[in-house]
Amino acid sequence: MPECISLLRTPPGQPVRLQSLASLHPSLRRRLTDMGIDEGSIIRLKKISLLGGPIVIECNGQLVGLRQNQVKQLEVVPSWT
Amino acid sequence: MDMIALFGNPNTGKTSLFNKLTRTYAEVGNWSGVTVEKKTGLLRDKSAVLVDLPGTYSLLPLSLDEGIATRYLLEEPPAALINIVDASQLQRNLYLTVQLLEYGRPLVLGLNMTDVADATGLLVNKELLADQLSVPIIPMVARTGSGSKQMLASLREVRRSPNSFQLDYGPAVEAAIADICSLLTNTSVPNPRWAALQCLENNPVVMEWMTNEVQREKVTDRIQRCEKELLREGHSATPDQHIRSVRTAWIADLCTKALDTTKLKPHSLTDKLDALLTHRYLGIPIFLLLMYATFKFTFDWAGTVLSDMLDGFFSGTLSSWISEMLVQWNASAFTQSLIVDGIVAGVGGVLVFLPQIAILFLIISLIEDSGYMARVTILMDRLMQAVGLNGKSFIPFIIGFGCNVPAIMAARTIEQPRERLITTLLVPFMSCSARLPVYALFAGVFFPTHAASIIMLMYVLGITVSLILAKIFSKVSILSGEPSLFIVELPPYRVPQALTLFRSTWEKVKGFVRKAGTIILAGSVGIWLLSNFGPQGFGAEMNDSLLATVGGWFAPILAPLGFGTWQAGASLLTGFMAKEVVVSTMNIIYHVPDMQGLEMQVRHAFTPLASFSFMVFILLYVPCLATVAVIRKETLSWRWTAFSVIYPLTVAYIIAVVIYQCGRLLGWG
Repeated sequence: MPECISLLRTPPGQPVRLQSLASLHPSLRRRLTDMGIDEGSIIRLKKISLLGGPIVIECNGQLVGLRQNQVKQLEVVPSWT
Repeated sequence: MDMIALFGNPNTGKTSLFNKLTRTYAEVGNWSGVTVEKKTGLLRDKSAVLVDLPGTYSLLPLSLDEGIATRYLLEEPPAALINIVDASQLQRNLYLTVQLLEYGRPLVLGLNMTDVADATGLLVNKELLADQLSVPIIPMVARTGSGSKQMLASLREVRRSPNSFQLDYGPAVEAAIADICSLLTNTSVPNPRWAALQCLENNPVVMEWMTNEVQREKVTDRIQRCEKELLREGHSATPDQHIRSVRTAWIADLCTKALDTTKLKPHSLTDKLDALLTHRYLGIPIFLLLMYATFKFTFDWAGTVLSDMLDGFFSGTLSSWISEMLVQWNASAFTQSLIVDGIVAGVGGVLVFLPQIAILFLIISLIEDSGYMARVTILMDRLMQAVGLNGKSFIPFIIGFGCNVPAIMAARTIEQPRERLITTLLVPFMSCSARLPVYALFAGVFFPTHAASIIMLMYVLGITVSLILAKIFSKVSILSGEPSLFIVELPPYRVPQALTLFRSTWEKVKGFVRKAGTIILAGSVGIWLLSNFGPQGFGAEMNDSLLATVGGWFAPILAPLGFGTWQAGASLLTGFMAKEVVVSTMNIIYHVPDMQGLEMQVRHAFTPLASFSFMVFILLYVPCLATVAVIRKETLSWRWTAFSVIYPLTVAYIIAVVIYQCGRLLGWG
């Protein structure tokens, strides 16, 4: 079983599988699942802004901006394993 | 007449389709990308009324805006639905489709942006999709209008055939649906099963809609029982999670059958543009540079030249032509003066700024249509977070540069009530286009070589003041609490269409012209009358007029700000109606034939430092009447409305005093 790591610690552009959304704020989690971004989705860290500003993730061709402190606990596993 | 409702995710082209299906196009209040309230229009074939609703990802609302769509389905059941979906984001879009299909009314699916999907190499099996969803599917490109004829034809055909789409949610949920259906008697909703499912999903709008307390309690009890039964069946999920997973599994299955993604290419244009426009270090400098270019272009290069031409026309050609006409008709001196010195001077004095305002609006429309606006929220979020707001507050701020009224309505897209309220209270500090004539006049007179920089300074000052106040507000107990959240979808960049840009700019310019024809016209007539009416009746000397008396009351209060004249007092007072009226008032009370004359008078009445203090005061002092009205409508509170009038006055006074007095100490007086 591959180990879960925080999304923020993955190299940008690398596809990873979203393992758990459990630690996310409920509204945020709802909005993400509404966008079809859920456990099991393949996502990519696109961009990290300066000074702890928002990050951009990509999933199924859509780009979503989120705050770093909100997604710190997003657990992912590298999708090639 | 039948009502047909238009649903879809945000950014799927609902408003474009609405414009193509009806003869009207985007009314006031709709600023591209933000349908703030539902909007109606007659279908081209006159067979029904089309209702455009705000974009939603699901019927379960997260923001104020999204609740409107659900409430509409409950309260005014439409005869049929159009669901527009983005072909390149089918899987996500189908979630709303499933909820709409369950509603039970006839539905036509508009498969939009097929051109984008084709270009990226995505193949959609439309026949299979239509068959599985058992609804007609119309491929279309809403921006160009392709497919809208077929949509109209399909609507006529489908309207009498309700759809019977149903998913099987498993025994526990199905039993609960049946029980809740029997509780929901005598409702206007076409399909009780849909309402029952929405209850099980915990939709607050649907729960609220059940006015009967007993009924609501019974429904809540039944939902709790369903949760226990689900556990017994071995599902760890709550009913809403269970329903969601059944739907998403079904959609995923459908998409694997109906979509061929093997030839898919990445969206390289968006990638390339984002590499630059949202760059770690360059993103913010580029944004500021773009803003500066906007001001430079609006005020120095294009706008001023056109404004001067218009001024020549109003004060020269038009004015003398009207005077001649009036003399020929033997109009009384009273009428002549009213028309030439009152109406032409007042209304014309404001209309000369039309080119600059149009250019500013055009650039705002460009930012909205290109997809850059959402990126700006990303760039600005860190800063906004530091003051207790959200990157999304920046959208109302930018729209506020055009006009504060739609800007306040755009604040509805902010999810948290606290951040929405603070944004609403701060939008009036965004320097709207109505304040532009004042800056253009004063900066032109006193700082001719630095006009664009001085004007930009006003915009920056407005933002700075609002950020400082946001920080203060978020420390105040009634406005604190609630953690701040931020999530924004970044749509792919699009080349804005000339026609769309022209239309949305025209819509906004039309609002300005309409204001010139109503409020400013009435204001000009009123000011002219007051300036000619004195203690001895009509025809008084300007300095003894009623206007001078009233303006004079304020003069001592304004003296510490550097402009303690009755003229300044009177124009600030009338500026509450609409900020453009400040310039109209000055045109009338300084009794000048053209811009040059006004500039002379202003040069005489103000010092450069006083003019700067005056501009700052105009920027901050009170929201205009229309803005106050919309604040009342959005906050639903007279207390907040009163607050929104009083505190900017205080802030403006303090800042203007500090600027003027410090300036004098530094010897700039």
